[in-house]
Amino acid sequence: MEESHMMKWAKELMPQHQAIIMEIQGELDTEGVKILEPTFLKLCKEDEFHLILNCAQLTYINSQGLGLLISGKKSVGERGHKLVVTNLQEPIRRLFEVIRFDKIFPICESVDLALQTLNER
Amino acid sequence: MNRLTLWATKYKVVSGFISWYRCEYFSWYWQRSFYFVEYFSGVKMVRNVASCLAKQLQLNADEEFALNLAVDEAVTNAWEAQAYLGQKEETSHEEYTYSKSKNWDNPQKINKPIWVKFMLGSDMLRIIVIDGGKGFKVGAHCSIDIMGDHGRGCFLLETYMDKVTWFPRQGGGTKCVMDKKLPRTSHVLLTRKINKLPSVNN
Repeated sequence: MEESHMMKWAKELMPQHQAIIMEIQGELDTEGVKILEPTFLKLCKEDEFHLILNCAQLTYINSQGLGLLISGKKSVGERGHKLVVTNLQEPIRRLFEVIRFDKIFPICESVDLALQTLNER
Repeated sequence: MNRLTLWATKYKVVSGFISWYRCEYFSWYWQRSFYFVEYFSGVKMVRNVASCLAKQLQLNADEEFALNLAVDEAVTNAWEAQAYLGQKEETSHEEYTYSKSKNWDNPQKINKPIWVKFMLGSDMLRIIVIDGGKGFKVGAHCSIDIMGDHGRGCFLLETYMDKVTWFPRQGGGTKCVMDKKLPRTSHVLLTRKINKLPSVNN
């Protein structure tokens, strides 16, 4: 688990599902984005893996954080892979609905469901 | 001008001033201002204040999140106006976008403070954010192109707050006034007392 500011993250490789699970904790505000961006975009450029974001502990996200997700999605999409968002807290889920991110990102209730979704495709 | 007209004009001016003064100072029973130059600590400070107010006003989690987000986006806009545009004159959207993308990793240190004012009225919370830069046509940058590079912040501001107005300021800068209607049953509204806010360093 790496830690800085109020942003922590951890990653777990699931080669059997061809996926990397990235767990984000804390706040994805401007400062959090500057800290997370290099690692996140590097993972998005992985050639062989889908990316699952576990947002169970993500308490806040602003437009910069949303922009980072968009960049990640574009990067992942270029390789024909998926970026799945899971375990969104209620205010952030509603934010995704307001800004119509629920139409762009597959959103799942849990990491297991996300892995199932990836396997089915 | 005869005496009657002169008297009527003077009365209008005086009564207009009294209305403005009452509106400005007596409609809002609680006000608090902050200013800062350092962006990261400043935005954290005002977000803490917004959260504290939201709790005292008995707003739910969604409304608290909305206040936090609105204050964050408005302050970020104000900071970016100085950090990426510096002292340039009012710019077009294209110039702003170009300047921001070119200087993203190297924002200028701002030298004019950002002012944030919280005002509490009988049924409304008003938040005013003022930047000291040269200003730009912020309203023109709001976008619902969610896959675009810019515009999400303004869009969120205007979605989450009940009313948002942008004013260019004479001498430079932009004033953003955001209003949020409050539930009338709030304890604070009934007692008109705000408990101590988190201590802040300006």
